[in-house]
Amino acid sequence: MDRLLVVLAVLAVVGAGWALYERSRSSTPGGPGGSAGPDRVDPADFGLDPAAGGNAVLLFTSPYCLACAHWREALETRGVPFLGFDVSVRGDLANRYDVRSTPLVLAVALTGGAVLASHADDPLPHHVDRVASLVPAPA
Amino acid sequence: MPHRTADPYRDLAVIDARAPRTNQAVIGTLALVAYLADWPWLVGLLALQLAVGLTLGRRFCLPCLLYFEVLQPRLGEGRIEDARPPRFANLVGVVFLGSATLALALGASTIGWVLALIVSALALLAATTGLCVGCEAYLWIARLRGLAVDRHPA
Repeated sequence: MDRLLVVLAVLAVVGAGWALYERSRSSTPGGPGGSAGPDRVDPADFGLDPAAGGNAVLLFTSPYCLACAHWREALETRGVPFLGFDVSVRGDLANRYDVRSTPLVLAVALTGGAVLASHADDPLPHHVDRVASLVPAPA
Repeated sequence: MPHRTADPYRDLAVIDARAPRTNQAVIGTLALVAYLADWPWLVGLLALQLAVGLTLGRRFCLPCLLYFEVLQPRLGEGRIEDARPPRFANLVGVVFLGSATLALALGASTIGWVLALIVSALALLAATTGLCVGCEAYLWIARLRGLAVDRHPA
């Protein structure tokens, strides 16, 4: 009987952990359908000139990341200019901006470095539309 | 059989993310059963199975075989992820379950079962949420050491 209570306690802890985890996933940036990544970046870290004005797209990728390839393809298809950073090569940037998963797509304002949009999942059409609207293809 | 982008027995740098979760579900459940039935030998068996899978490969890991041979052909391939974090988590599991086995064998049953139940709780948590504490520990250590990390969205 005592053992059964302990087992139930373990299952209760797991259940509580599951509930807390799901709650945090749905209420914080980076959760399902949500955004992720930093709120602000320094454009100079990415070789961008803040004085140039306008917006830019940063794509964080990693090897074996199929969704990264899908984002790359989606942006290229739409003619959206972007800068790609492989986090396995640019660990410095990944650490500085706490990039914990790939893909991570950031649309940033060059002036001030505010992140206008961020996505960390497969390139859903409305996410690609959002990014493309912020950084339109060159005329 | 649905198309596989990664061969489970050749592409060892990566793994279908559902495979470790299957492993975690099996380990977590059986560790609980071991406690409930007071079967210390089962804890040792789980430690041995994890150790064999780590040293001899996925063909010798029974939960891996269950996933790759039975479940994956029916469900299709899940997200492909870096194999290093779950491998490290398995290593942690071996250490905990091995220590638990040793403690149980030496008569320190409280310590032994506490260790086994910790593994059970963490494994079941990982199986149900995808939050793998051992994997997170690997990522943390990898960052400290400056190693490249490849992880997909959880």
